[in-house]
Amino acid sequence: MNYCTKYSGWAEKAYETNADSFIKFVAYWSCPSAPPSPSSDVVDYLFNAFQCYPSGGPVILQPVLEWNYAGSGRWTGAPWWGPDENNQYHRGGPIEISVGDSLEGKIWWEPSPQVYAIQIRNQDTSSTSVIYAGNPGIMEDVFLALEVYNVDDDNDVPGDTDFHSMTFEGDTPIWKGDVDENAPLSGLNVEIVSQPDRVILHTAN
Amino acid sequence: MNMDKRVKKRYLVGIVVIIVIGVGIMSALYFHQKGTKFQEKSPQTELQEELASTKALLTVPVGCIHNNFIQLKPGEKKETYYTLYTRNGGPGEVTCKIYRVAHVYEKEKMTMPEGLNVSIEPSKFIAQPHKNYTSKITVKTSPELFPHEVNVSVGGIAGREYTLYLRVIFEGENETIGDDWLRILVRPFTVPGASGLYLPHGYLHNNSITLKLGETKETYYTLHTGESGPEEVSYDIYRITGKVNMLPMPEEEKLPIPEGLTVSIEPNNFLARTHENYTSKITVKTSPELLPGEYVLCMEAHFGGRLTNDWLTVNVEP
Repeated sequence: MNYCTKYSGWAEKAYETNADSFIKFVAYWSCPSAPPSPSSDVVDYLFNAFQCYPSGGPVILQPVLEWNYAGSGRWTGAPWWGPDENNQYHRGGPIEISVGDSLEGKIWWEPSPQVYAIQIRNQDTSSTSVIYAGNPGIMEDVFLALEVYNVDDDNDVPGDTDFHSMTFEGDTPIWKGDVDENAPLSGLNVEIVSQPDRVILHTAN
Repeated sequence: MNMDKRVKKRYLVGIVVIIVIGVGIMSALYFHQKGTKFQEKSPQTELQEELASTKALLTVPVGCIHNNFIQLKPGEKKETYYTLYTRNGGPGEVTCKIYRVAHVYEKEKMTMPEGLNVSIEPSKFIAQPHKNYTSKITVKTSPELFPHEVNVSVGGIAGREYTLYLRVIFEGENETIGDDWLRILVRPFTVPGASGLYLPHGYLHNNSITLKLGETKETYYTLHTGESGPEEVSYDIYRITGKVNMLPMPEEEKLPIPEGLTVSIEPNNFLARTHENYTSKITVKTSPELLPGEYVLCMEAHFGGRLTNDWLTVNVEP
């Protein structure tokens, strides 16, 4: 049930929640067109992610393409993870990203010093940001998602995002789609072009 | 200190006895635990339990919070709601208590942090059978709840989450499934990912089944509701070409189910609450006039406005 006039949430995603254990996930995508005419409080996120389930509850690790984070009015990229054992969420240092830039989002297990690393890289500028999450648990779930905040129509969301050339170590996902029909958006569609390496998250733009 | 030899011997014997008893107790505990660990449930037992649990969830009084995740800035106030569906339960007094816990699924009370104030209204009322009762939960925060400096151009701690547990007691209705959890994320700017940590998801127990003409076979679909609810669940099963994998599925990819192939799912069209598994039985029947071959079915689940799907391949042998 939605009590707000504006919508916030994971508008669409591809997911695999029935796997055993992932240790590496690399995805490539181009920065899509910015929202055509967004309200000032709109924020959009695009990411690939791992999720694990330690005893304290789920933990997510994600290289994130951010639109209008903290009111920036532009695209930025940053690795994120959380919550930690103190229920805190962490963001790595941001990198600059422009429409059309080629991005690499990578999450992997670093055997020495036994930590998960989360990295976003702009392949056009070679700028990279990485953050380490320690060892929160076995990565059981994988996601690709468009998450939005304060949207009320198609003017608030970016163009299509083509996650391609995806590779995995450990398990291999069989992607499934999920669309939130509560979102006040047309054109949402999760297209699994080929398992497991290419998925397009469509919007109306 | 000089000690008599006999006294020394008694001490030694005593120590040995203590060690032997200690080792015995530890071994007993170890093997008991191993025994417990190895007494895993069979898949059949697990399935029977899931089906029984689903049946209970559809009949006993249930309740849940409408929006189990709230993000807000330090100093902001937000509201959400809780609804109890009494079904056959009542009349009886309902008491709601809300307090802080370590995380979702925990029930042990913790001290509420300075700067977080939570209330539920009404917290006590008399409930009648076959009625729904909604209470408002108000969350107020103050700036000291997130004492970190955030420099957006550098990165760092970007948010802090608190979990609350809502305990709902429906007098005389011990089977009520009405407790729930509420996550509060306090942050200066939005945090990606956090809102989706408990999204609903589902899976088919088998992605393909093989049967002969005239046979009937069953499989199951389990929906885990996560933080979605109270919402209606509905399932739709149709045949597709199997060539394009899109969600929503384009109309041109849908095919008519041939005569002689019948597919049904039960239960379907029901109210679901948060943090539960609902397992439905899918029955596939074939009759002798059906052409042998492969039929790809798409099982669409609608829940709380979310749409997801799964494919079931039915191989029909002559």
